Amino acid sequence: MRRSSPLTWEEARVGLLIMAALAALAGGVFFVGSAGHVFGERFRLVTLMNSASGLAPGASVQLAGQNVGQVARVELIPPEARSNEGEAVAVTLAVNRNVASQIRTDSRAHIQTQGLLGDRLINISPGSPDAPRLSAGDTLTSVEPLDYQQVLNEASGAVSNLTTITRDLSSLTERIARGEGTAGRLLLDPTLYRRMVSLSGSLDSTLTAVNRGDGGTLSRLLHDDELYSRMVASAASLDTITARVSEGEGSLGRMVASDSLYRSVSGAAGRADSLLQRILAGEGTAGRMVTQDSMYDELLRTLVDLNATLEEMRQNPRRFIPPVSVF
Amino acid sequence: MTDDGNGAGERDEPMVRAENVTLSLGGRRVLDGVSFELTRGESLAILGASGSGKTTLLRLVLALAEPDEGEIWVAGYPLSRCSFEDILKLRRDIGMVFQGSALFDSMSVLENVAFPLREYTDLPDPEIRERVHETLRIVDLDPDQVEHQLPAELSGGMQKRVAIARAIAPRPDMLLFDEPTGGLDPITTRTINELIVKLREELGVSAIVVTHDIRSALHTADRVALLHEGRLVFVGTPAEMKESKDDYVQEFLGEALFT
Amino acid sequence: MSKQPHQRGRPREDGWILASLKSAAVRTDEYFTLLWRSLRATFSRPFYVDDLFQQMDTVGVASLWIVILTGLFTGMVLALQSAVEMERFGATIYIGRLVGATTVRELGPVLTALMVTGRAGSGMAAQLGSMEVTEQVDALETMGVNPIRRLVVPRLLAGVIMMPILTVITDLVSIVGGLLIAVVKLDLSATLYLRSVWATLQQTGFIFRYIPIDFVQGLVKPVAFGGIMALTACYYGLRTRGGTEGVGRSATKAVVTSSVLILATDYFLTQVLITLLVE
Ligand SMILES: Nc1ncnc2c1ncn2[C@@H]1O[C@H](COP(=O)(O)OP(=O)(O)OP(=O)(O)O)[C@@H](O)[C@H]1O
Ligand SMILES: [Mg+2]
Repeated sequence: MRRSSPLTWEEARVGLLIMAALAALAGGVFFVGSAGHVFGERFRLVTLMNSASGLAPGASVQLAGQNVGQVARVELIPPEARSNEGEAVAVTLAVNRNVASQIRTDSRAHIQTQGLLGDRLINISPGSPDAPRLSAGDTLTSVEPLDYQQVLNEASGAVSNLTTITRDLSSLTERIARGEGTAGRLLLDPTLYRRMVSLSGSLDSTLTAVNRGDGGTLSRLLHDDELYSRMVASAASLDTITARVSEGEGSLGRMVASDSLYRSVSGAAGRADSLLQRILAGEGTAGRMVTQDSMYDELLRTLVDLNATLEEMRQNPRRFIPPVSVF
Repeated sequence: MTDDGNGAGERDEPMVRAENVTLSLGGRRVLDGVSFELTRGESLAILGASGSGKTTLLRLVLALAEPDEGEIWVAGYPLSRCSFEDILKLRRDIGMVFQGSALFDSMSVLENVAFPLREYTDLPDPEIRERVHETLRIVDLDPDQVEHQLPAELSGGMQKRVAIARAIAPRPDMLLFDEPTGGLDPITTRTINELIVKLREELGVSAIVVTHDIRSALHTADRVALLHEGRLVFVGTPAEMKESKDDYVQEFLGEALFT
Repeated sequence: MSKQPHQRGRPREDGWILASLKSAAVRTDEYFTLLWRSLRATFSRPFYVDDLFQQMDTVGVASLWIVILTGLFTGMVLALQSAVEMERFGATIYIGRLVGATTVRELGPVLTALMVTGRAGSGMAAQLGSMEVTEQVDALETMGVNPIRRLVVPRLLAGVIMMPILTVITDLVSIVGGLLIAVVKLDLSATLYLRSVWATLQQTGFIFRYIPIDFVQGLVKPVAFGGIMALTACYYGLRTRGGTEGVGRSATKAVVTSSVLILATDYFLTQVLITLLVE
């Protein structure tokens, strides 16, 4: 049937509807396209990785956290074709050309996880100004993401050591808190404190006497500068000695320059744990010191003696000041 | 078919010839061994009670359905051996007035009558409109009054006239009427019958008029056929029909004439 | 039991299972024959341009309002429902993603198709049905017009053209509906919401560089649905029997059948499209 009229309202309505829909569609294509960065020139980079970690084509590519492109392809490299052991996956990135100048040979690509849903994306770190630029088709070096499994394996050894130490320590402090052994009595028995107070009283009066300059070595040490000048001289000779030591001369020098001492020290530290255990078990002197009371009594007696000695020192200070010498 | 389709067939062939036509629909034998002939320029009335298969017979003549057995020739061409294109060409020379008018209800009277003209000819719009007006005047309708009306806005009798106008607009060789007076009042029935007679005289067409109105049949037809349960129980002139000794013919005549 | 004497010589009656299988097979055959003839008629002359425009108007413009309402409320309810769940994780910024993805991939095409089937498909079946029972289809044929060319082709094309158009409108309105809820009820910023809509749609990727795969999915489906809607309506319309009552039955059958066909096709089409486009 031939067309009878030029354009009817029906046809115009249909045309308008179709145009509206096409406009909406074009808008959609534009906005979705912008979100997916399909407009504008792009160039491709390849990065080789041990594992794609679930990365899929279409995933974002970010440069310093800014969206700049998409993952175009993720491919397995056949074992024969691998240039580096372990680099099993080739990820092709489509990156906006306008950020090309930011990606240099020292830029690094690595897989990140983003958001609640754990979307995978590739983040590229910007390059430094003196490194040359990467161009299309070049390979971008990748950084393997932290392998949490390995970290956990290493950490678990350290943690179990720590647990043992903490357990030992806690039983130790527990016994101290119960007033057992020297350390316990030290904390809980006031006798020692009281003695200490009287001791410090005596010490005080002794020092006052010294300060007053009642003669004697100690007060001369404070009021006479002869000792100082001699010490300066000694320091100078000390200096030459240290120099020789650092050159590795003599036994002291060897001690500083070689690490054998350090190794034996760290070996000793390693044994500290078992030592601590043995102490707790009451083995040896230290063990007995912790576990038995006799040591406390000994200490108490010593303090009594010390108190008496100090008393004597106050009466007759000169007897107790040794001759001054640096070496 | 080598012919151009216009005034198809050899002149001495009958317009329609049906031979032993049998058709079953929905498991029922609707037509059973029907044979008849319609010569050129002749008018045949097919009578029969409701459901006797009259409409079905017309549909077969138009190749809207195919018989299970038997053959129908239209203008000398056996329909069962005609291609779809041939049948379309044959139909161009047949005008059909359907039982329920079958006007396109989304189109105005003008568009309805113009429809076959637009399909068959390349006439420009003004000329088509001219032909439509002329045709509407033949069926006693006022073109200026009805041309922009929709079929639903017309009375049943006017719809029938528009349907007749649509059938005769392309000037066919043969007209098929399916109950042209069905459901109309006696006066409209008479004017329609007169219209059919007038058309035959003016256009010189062959016609098959299907009706259960015996008066219309006797009034408009050269020959009469009576269908009863899918069989043709009588074919002959109106005069022969009145003389017939067949029980059903007499029953049909009696019933029809007394009511 | 086949030996029983009284059955001998009688035509065998099919059991109801066999009978319904047979009728299903016949219907499928008729359906695809109609499709095949329509396609052949589409690509040959004459072509009824006026009828096409008229059908596009009936299918497209007439369904515009219900499609807008459908889209609006769907988008709003999607945002609202997902907000309840996502607020628990403090993830309401993902609402745009949910609304965008579900609308464009699934709900837009399917809901539009179902609404248009109810609105236009039923009308098509009823119109063709009444043309059939009033012998208008026969009249067309009598006047040398192929009813498939004149009646089915414009409707089929109108369905195939207008369904994607309407789906785009539904999608757009639905995204706007989600936006309304996100901004008014959930205090999200409009930019954030829209960004997450676009972001989720680009994630499936692009074909021919610029065309988002989700859009292709969202537009191929309505083309198929429009075809199914129109073809089913024409099929039931043209095989209408039994007067005005038959017209009503045909309209109902057309709507029910095409709704089911649309939902089933949606599943298989999604499978095919995912295989073709995404992998
Ligand atoms: N498509 C069909 N399927 C099944 N049966 C049909 C079909 N078309 C017609 N019939 C049956 O065929 C018989 C004849 O129908 P037809 O329409 O030819 O009758 P008719 O003589 O025109 O009757 P009326 O005077 O009422 O128009 C009827 O019993 C009808 O039920
Ligand atoms: Mg009839």
